[in-house]
Amino acid sequence: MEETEIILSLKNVYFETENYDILSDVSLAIRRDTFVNIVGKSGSGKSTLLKVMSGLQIPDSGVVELFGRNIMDLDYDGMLPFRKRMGFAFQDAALLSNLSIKENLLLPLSFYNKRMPKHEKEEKIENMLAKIFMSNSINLRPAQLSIGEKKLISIARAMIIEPAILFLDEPIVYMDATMAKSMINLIKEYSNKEETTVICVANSKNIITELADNLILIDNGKIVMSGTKNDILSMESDKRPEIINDVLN
Amino acid sequence: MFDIFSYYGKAIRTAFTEFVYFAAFIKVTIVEIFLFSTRKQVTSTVLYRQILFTGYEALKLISLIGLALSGIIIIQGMQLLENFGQSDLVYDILIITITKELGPLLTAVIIIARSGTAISTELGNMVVNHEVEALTSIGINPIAYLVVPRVLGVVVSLFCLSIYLNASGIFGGYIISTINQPLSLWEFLKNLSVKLTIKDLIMSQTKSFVFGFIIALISCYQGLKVNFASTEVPQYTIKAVVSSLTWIIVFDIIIDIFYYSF
Repeated sequence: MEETEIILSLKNVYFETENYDILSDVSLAIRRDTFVNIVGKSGSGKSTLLKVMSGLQIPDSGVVELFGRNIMDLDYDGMLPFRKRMGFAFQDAALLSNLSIKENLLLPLSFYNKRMPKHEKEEKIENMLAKIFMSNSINLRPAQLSIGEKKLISIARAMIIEPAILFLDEPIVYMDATMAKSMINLIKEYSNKEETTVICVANSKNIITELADNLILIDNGKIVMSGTKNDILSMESDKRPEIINDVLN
Repeated sequence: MFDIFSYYGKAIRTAFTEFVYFAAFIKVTIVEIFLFSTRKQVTSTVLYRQILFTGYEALKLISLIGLALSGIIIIQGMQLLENFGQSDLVYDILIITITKELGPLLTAVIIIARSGTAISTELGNMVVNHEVEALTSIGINPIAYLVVPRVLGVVVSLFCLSIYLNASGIFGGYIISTINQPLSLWEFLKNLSVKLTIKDLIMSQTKSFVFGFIIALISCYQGLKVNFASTEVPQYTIKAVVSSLTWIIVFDIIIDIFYYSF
């Protein structure tokens, strides 16, 4: 199989807070057009790793390269060309509570497509909401939705600018089976597109088996195992870290 | 043993760090204010909402306070000054207290109570709910999107509300003074215009402008200082109120010193 270009890499990244190591000597490389799933126990540093990868948190030392460029020294304006190519869906949705669902989706669209006609933006929002069966919620406020619905909107907000990399933090946690299925379908449709990379934090058997190409296993801020899903799943269970066995069982 | 040097050294370092952060915050906000027109696609709605909340929705309260304040000044002033045959001085007192001093100061206090607390609480909750981080992930600078429209909204609103409080105060003064001594509005305004100079109006509006800037900056800064927990939100809101009140009084005195020196 032909190897694709490395889109994101971390070299010897350390991140600590209040003298506590959250990430310790993390190095990894993620190739374009793959679905990478990060697995780890609660408090192992998964979400911090995702935020460091996306440039939302700056590590204490090490190098973070996005699209071949070190982003460690970039300010807000310097990060803009990268942000335009990334979408981030937070674990707790993080929708802007004083805006309606439509306004939440309009925000990234208006920010990056200043010249796009209003009707075109509205059409895009309507199509996105129809895809997640939430057309009726267009004028509601986030407080009027369930946490699962908020997370769907959060992913829709991350996807609406059609980013090259999508970061997902626990996308199906707090969701019932039906909603989790629509979420997985939505992510699958996006990751099946060409040139799209998904980096997801989830301890979910469904995501690992249905979506992931590669797995990164993290424990106490260190990467304990990484490789293709097939390689890791075909290993004998006593040779794999406990967390992956717990997730798969 | 209590080490006094270590204790005060730490306190001074903390105060200095705080000062550096706040100075950097002011600098970035001023730079972003000049870039407002380039970012208005996403920030104009926030500005309109801020003006609506801080300015328009405070009009009733401001009218009531303006009318009440001038009524009290006229009633008390007339009674006192009549004893000395100096009833005319009531206009001077009205101008000094309402236009130059209490007008901008009272409007600022009302804005701190209504909008300063609201801004600080709202931004604090946005930090806790990761909404500020979400804006960053989209690429939107939180200073440009959250702080600048609020600063501009509060400055514009306070500037206009101060004019409105002065006008309602003067109108209230006229109504009360006609009860005591029938006077045409024209004559009242003529008496007033003799006492009220352009310099007074400029000083009054300068105060409003400066107070608006101080209140909005401090409220936004304290709101964004919240770290993780919702229990921090009221603590930082209280800090925003106390700091805003302190600094508007300090700047009130500074502006007065400049006014009376030149």
